[in-house]
Amino acid sequence: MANKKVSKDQMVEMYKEMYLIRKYEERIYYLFLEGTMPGSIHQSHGQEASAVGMLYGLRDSDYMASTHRPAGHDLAKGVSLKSMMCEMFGKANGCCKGKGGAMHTGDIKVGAIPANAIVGGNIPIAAGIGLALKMQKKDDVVVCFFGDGASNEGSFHEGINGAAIWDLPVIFVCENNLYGASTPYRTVSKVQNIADRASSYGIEGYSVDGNDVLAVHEIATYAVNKARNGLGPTLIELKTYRIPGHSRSDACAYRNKDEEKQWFAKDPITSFRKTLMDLGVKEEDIISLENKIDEEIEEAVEFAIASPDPLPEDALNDVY
Amino acid sequence: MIKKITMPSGGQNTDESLIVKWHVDVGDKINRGDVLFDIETDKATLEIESFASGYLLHKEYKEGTTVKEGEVVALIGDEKDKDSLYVEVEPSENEYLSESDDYQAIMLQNQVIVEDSTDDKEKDICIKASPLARKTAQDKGFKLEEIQGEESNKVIHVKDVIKFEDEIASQIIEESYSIVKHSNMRKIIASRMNESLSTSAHFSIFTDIDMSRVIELRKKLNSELESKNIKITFNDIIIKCAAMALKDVPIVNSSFFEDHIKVWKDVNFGIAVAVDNGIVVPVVRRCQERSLSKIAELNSENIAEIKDGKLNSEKLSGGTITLSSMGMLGVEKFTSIINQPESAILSVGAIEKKPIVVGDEILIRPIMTITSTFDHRGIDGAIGAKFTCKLKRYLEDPIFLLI
Amino acid sequence: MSETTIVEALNQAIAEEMRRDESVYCLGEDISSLDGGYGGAWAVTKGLGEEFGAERIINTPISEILISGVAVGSAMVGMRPIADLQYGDFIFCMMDQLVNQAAKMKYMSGGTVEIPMVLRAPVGASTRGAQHAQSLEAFFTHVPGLKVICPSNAYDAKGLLKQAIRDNSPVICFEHKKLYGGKRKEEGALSPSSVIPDEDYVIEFGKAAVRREGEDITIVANLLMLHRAMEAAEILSKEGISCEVIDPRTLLPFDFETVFESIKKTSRLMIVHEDNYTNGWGSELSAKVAEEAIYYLDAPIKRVASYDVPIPFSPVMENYVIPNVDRIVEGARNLMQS
Repeated sequence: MANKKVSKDQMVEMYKEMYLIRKYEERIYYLFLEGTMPGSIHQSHGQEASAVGMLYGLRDSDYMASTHRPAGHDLAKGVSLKSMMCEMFGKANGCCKGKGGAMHTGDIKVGAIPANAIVGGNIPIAAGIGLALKMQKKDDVVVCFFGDGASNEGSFHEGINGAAIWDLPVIFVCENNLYGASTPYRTVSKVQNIADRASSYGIEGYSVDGNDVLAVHEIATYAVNKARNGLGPTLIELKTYRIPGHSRSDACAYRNKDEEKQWFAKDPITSFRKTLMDLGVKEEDIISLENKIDEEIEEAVEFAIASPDPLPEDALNDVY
Repeated sequence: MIKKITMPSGGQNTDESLIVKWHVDVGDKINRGDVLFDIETDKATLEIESFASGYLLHKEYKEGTTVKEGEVVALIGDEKDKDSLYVEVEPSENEYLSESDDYQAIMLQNQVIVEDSTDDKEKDICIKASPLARKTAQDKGFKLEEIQGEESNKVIHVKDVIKFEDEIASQIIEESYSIVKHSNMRKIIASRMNESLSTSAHFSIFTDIDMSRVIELRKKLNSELESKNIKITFNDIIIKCAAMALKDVPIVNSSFFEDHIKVWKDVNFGIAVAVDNGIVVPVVRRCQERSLSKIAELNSENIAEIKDGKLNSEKLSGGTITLSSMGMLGVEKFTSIINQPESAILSVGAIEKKPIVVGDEILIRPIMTITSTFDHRGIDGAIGAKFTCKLKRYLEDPIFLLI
Repeated sequence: MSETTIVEALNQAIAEEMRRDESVYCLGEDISSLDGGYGGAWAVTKGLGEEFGAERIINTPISEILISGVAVGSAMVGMRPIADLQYGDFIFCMMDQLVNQAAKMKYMSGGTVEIPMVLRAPVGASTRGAQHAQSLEAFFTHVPGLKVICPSNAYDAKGLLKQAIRDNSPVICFEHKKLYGGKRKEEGALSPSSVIPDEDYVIEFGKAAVRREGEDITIVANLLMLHRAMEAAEILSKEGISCEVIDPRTLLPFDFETVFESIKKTSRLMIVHEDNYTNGWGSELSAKVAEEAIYYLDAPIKRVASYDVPIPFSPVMENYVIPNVDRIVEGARNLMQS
C-alpha cells in the first residue's frame, strides 16, 4: 500500500533505517554466539517496519518509550549506533554509561527515554510524559511501544485510560508478534484484535499490517497528527512477527514451522526492497547503501570493543 | 577446639585437692607439658601439667580453693577461641583420641581427665560485658575475668570497669606503704623532738675515750658484786663519771628559759630505753650523791619494770640530762636530740678496738666515742668542751671515782 | 508567624511551591476540592483546586499505577509532580512504578534522566483494619534511588515537603494520620502544631532533630511514636531516668551521626517505631550502630515496635499491637537494668 505523501527519497531513507536495524540485530546475534557480549538479548529483527514506520519523521522533541526489545525503536528514534553498541558491551561510553544494558537503551536527548524491561511499565509513564507535554503546552507527542503480552497488564488499562480521559498526546503501539515469550496471544485473550480494546477507553483503535512499513507509517502519521492537535491518544495494533526467539536461548519450539514460513515470506525488509526497486530505485544503489551500513556497523563494533570499561566504582554514582 | 583441664585424683584417701598456686594467667600461651597449677593433696604437693597446647581461656577456681576430683579447673583453646567473643563448643572425642602418645603419657601421669565438652560449665566462659565495658577494659588493659559484673545478672557495664579501676588504684597505693596509726607515745615523741629542734640550738662535741681501765674496773667490780646480784653496766659507769664532771661544770646540768637559766642542784640522769614502737626515758635521781652500785641497782630496777610494764610514770619525769646508748647495736658514733628542757645529751657508741698513738707508740685500745650534744643557747662551746674533757678524763682514769 | 497544624503546613508547602514553580502539580484520587470534591482524603489539598485549577490539581481515576506512572513519566520530562495516596497501604499497587521505575530511571540511564517526584502517603493505625493502617517506611528505605521522609510536626512537614518538591530524586513523604491535626479527628490523635515563619524555608534531608536532651538513654522515634516517646521521657525523668529523644525526620538518608553522638553520651539506645518489629527501620539503625558505634554502648539495643501481626481492627487489640507510652516507659526501665 503505497503512500502518496511519502517520497521515493524518504522511502530510501526508511529502507536504510530498516536495513540498519536488521543488520545491527544480526551482528549482535553473532557477537552473542561468539560469546563476546555479556548478558542476554531480546531482538527485534522482523519487526523493523513497525519501528521505522511509527517513528520515521518524528521530531527529536517527540518522545518514544520502548520495551525490553528496544534496539529497533532506539535506532529509528535516532539513538546513535555507536552508543547503542557500546551499551551492549557494557562500556563507559554506552548510551547509559554501561549501567543500563540491552533492555534499557535510550537517549533522552533524542526523545528515547530509557527502555523499560517491566512489561507494560512504560504505558503509564508514557501517559505521564503526555500529561507533561500537555501541561507544558507543547505539540510534541509520545509513541509508546509494547507487545501483545503487555495488553493484559494492569498498567495497560490504567495508562491508556488515563491518557484517554485527559486527551493526552500519546500513540500506544502494540506490536502484536503473536507470542508473549512462548505463550500464544490467542490463549491469553478472547479479544482477537488488541486494537478492539481501544473502545473500552473511548479512543480509536486500528489494527494494521506491521510488516508493511508504508501502512504503518500511514496510520502513524494519522495518529501523530491527531495527538499534536490535542485530540488524544490512539491505540495502534501492528501485526508482526519476530524472526528470532523471545530471547537469546529461545529455539521457538512453540512456533509452527508453516506459520514461520508464511511470516518469513512477508519479511518487511525483502518486501520493502522490492517495492523500492519497483519504484525504480536501482539495485546497485541499494547494494551500495547496504554496504555502507554494513561498514558502519563493523566500525561501531570495533569502536565498542576498543572502548574503555566503566570504572567499577562508578557503579556507586547516578543513584540520586 | 576447647579442651578442659580437670582436677586429677587427690589420692586414695580423698577425692578433693587444694589449688595452691596458679602458674599461668588467662590469655597465656600454653605448651603441652607446661605446669598449669600446683595442688596440695593429703599427701603431697603436685604440679599439674597441661596435656594441651593453646591459650588459657579460663580459670574456674582461685588459689586456695579446694576442688573435687573431676571438676573442670581450666579451659584451654586455640587462637580462634581466644579471639572469639563467645567461645564455640565443638565436642569431639575423636580429636582427643587422635592425640599422640606423649599426650597419653601426660594424661596418665597427672590423671588429667578429659571430658566431652558438652558440659553446661562451658557456657560460663562467655563473659557478659557491654561493648563499652569491653572497650574500656581493653583500653585500660584490664581482663574482663577480673571484673565483677552487676549483682543481678553478672553483666559487666562500664561503671563496673571504672569501679574496678578505682579498686586497683587504691590497692596500688596501699601496697606502697602500710599505715601505722600514731600511738600516744609517738605523738609525744614527735612533738617533743620537733619542739626541741625548733627551740634549742644544738651543737655536738665528739670525743674518743680509751675504755681499757673502765673495762678492767667493771670486770673486777662485777665479780665482786656478783653475790649481791648487782651488775654494773658501762652506762652506769658513764653516768657516775658524768655526774662527777657536772660537779666541775654545773651549768651543763641546767634548763634554759627566756630570761634565765635554771642550774639544777641534783643530777637526775635519764636513760633512753627502746621499747615497742618508741622510747622511754626512766630517770635515776641524785646521781651526784649515789654510789656506782646504787646507780646500777636503780637502773636495772627501772629496766625490769619497763619490761614488765610496771614502771611508775613518776620515774619518767624530772630528768636534767640524758644518756642514749647505741653501743650494743654496734653503732660507732651518733648524735641525739636534747630531751627538753634539758641542756645536754650524751650519745654513747660501741667500744671497738682501735689503734691509738700513746707517746710514740701505736697501741691497740678499746675505744668508745661519746658525742655530747649541748643547747648553745645556754652552753657555749668552751663549756661543752670542758665538760667533755672532764668526762673523758674520769672515764679513762676511773681512779677519780674514789674521790 | 502563625500556629499551624501539619495539614495546614503541607497545604502551604504545596501551594507556595506551586506558585513558585509552574512545573509543580498534584495528582491523586479526590484531591481537588472543586465542584464539591474532598480536597484530599485528609484535606491536605483543600482549596488548591480553586487556586490552581483542575489542570494542576488533577483528580485521577482510582488507578495507583496510573498515578505513580504519570508521576514518573511527567517528572522525567520536566514536571515536579506531587502524587497523593489516600492511605499509604495502596502504595503496593504502585510498587513497580516506585521501585522499578522511579528509583532506577536515573541510574539505568547513566544519570541522564531524573525523576523529581514526590509521593505523599498517610501511614499509621487508626481503627480501620489491616489494609488502612500500615507503617510502610522500611519497605522504601530498602530501595536505593528513593528518599524517605517522615515529618512529625508542622514546621518539619512544611520544610521537608518543600525540600522534597525541590529535590531531583523521587521522595516518599510518610505522614501520620493521627498527627495531621485536621478537622477529621481520630481517637488518640495529636495535633503537633508549630509556629511557622512567614518566610520561605526548607529542611535539609539527613538532619535529625534532638527533641529532648538527656543523659541516660537515647530514644530514636519517628512520627506518632516520637510524641509517645516524648511523653514517656517525661514520665521517666520523674524516676530519675534521663532520656534524649531524637526525631530522625528523614529515614533515607538517615542521620546516623546524630544518633552516634547521642549514644556516646548516654551509652544506651532505644528505638521506637510503629512499623512492625522485624526489619523495621530500627533494624537498620541497630545494625549500623552495631557496625560503627558498638563501643559506645553499655547495654544491648532495645527496640519497641508494633508486634509482627497485621494491624487488627478492634481498638482494644490495635492499642495492644501499637507501642503505647507504657510500653516505651517499661522498655526504658528494662534497658536501664540490662
